[in-house]
Amino acid sequence: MTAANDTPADAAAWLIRLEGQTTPQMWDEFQEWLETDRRHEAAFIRLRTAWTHCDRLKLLRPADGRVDRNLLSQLPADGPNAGSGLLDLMESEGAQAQHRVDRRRWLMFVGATAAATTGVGMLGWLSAEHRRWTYFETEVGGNRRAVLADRSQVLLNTDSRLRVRLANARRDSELIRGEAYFTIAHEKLRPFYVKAARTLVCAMGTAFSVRIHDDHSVEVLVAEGRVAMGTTEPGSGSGAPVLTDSAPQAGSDESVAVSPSSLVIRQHPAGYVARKLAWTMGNISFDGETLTEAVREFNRYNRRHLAIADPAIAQMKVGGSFEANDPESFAATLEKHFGVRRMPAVRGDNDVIRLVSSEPRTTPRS
Amino acid sequence: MAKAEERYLVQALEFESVLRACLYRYTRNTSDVEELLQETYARLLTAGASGEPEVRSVRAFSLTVARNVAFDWLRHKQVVPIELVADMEAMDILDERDQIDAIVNSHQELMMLVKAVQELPERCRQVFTLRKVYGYSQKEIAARMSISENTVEQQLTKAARHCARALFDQPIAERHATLFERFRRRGQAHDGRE
Repeated sequence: MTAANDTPADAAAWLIRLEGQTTPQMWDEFQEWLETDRRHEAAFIRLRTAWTHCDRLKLLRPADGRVDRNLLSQLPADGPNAGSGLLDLMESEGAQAQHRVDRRRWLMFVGATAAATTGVGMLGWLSAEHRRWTYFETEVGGNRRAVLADRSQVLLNTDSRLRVRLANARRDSELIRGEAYFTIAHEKLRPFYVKAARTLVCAMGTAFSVRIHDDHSVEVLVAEGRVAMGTTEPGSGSGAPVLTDSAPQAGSDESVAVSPSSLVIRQHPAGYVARKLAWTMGNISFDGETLTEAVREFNRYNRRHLAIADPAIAQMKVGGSFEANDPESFAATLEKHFGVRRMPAVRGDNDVIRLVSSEPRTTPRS
Repeated sequence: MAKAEERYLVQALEFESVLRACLYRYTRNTSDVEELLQETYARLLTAGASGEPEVRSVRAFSLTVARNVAFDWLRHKQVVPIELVADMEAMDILDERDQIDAIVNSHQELMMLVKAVQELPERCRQVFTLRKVYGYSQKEIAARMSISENTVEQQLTKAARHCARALFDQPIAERHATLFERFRRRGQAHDGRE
């Protein structure tokens, strides 16, 4: 419970700010503030409830249309007859018709309990979808395509989790684990952000993928258009992160690797990014990766893991396109063309396919 | 109507003074009470959204939540005053027996509101009056009073806080004055038996 003492002041300031001239950005900032802490929302509801109660003071408005900014200071609010004094005032002023209306409203208010008359109002406009994050998730070997309300598309790769929130002034998403491929609907005034670990990617209308590696480094591959990149500071969680105009950008056929200490943009030959994105079609494609890398890639998609049981083949280069969910076929191909064989399955250890060199004696390979 | 998830919180506002008194038993200072009250409201809001079975008495439930908040706070501070046990039992008796005071007299409440507005500094009161009695927009008020919209905003913010305090805290505290007397005596009686 830290720094909660300014919450009532902040809540009051928001309440009043939102009654005046507002911009979409302001609503988003408000939303952000509201969601930072449940106490913020509670304090806001409290203030709003009080503020709505104050609307009853309209009952005291003189019926002749005269505007007196000192009206309330002239009313007797103290003492035993205070209430009747107010009623007298209401009855003595204005035409009978107006009086009857006021009177009826008055009785209505008296009849209602405090709880029943509160809460008309300001938060009603914010729909749940607008305010809350929507989560998408896949298990090992799964994939999932989602079309968002702005017509952007997201494809989640194996064992991944993503959340999305489309607000008025910006579109936010956060990759919590795994990998996702985004095809962003172009909206000039509403940038689409993807946060992954401490990396922030901003896109207007592009196609790119974001992946969080096991070591928490982040890799971005751009298939179309351009994205801007940056990192968020740890602990600056409250406000919506933004990128400055000077943030580095990456275009198509470029990749960006972000680690805590560096951000490296690489240009690749045509076809590289497409090959890396073969997973969007359910495939894995290799072109000179080591067997170690290939096995690690396969294991992302399958509960039945591949394991290299022979250091002699670990650095072997492999190539070709394979179905991500079929490690058996990959192992069969290795046997047929790459001088690798599968060790006989050990009883009770059916979940691992162990690979060794098929040559009787290990010989150094290039 | 209040949104469903807000129902416990909005109802609890009616006896904010009781919650403050409850929290004060544990903290013995008002700035901590303020902080714990916010946490209590936050938990009531969460409870309203949880889809758990409806609580029978929002009042008893709110007091339980406030107490839990206070316990968490004490645990965090690693201080547990001895007299707490007595306080808690006194509170439970209070929960069951004194339900009447939750009934809010609308008319009386309007008087309290007028009185609260009269306590505001002149300009603040005038801005508030134009907004809440006459329904002018902030822009119109600024033009009418020849002040900046920013000033209007500041004055209304100040007024809103004051009114919330007047509505949910002080007036009911007055109404409960005798109740607290009784409640205090019960606590003492209990201590006496120890």
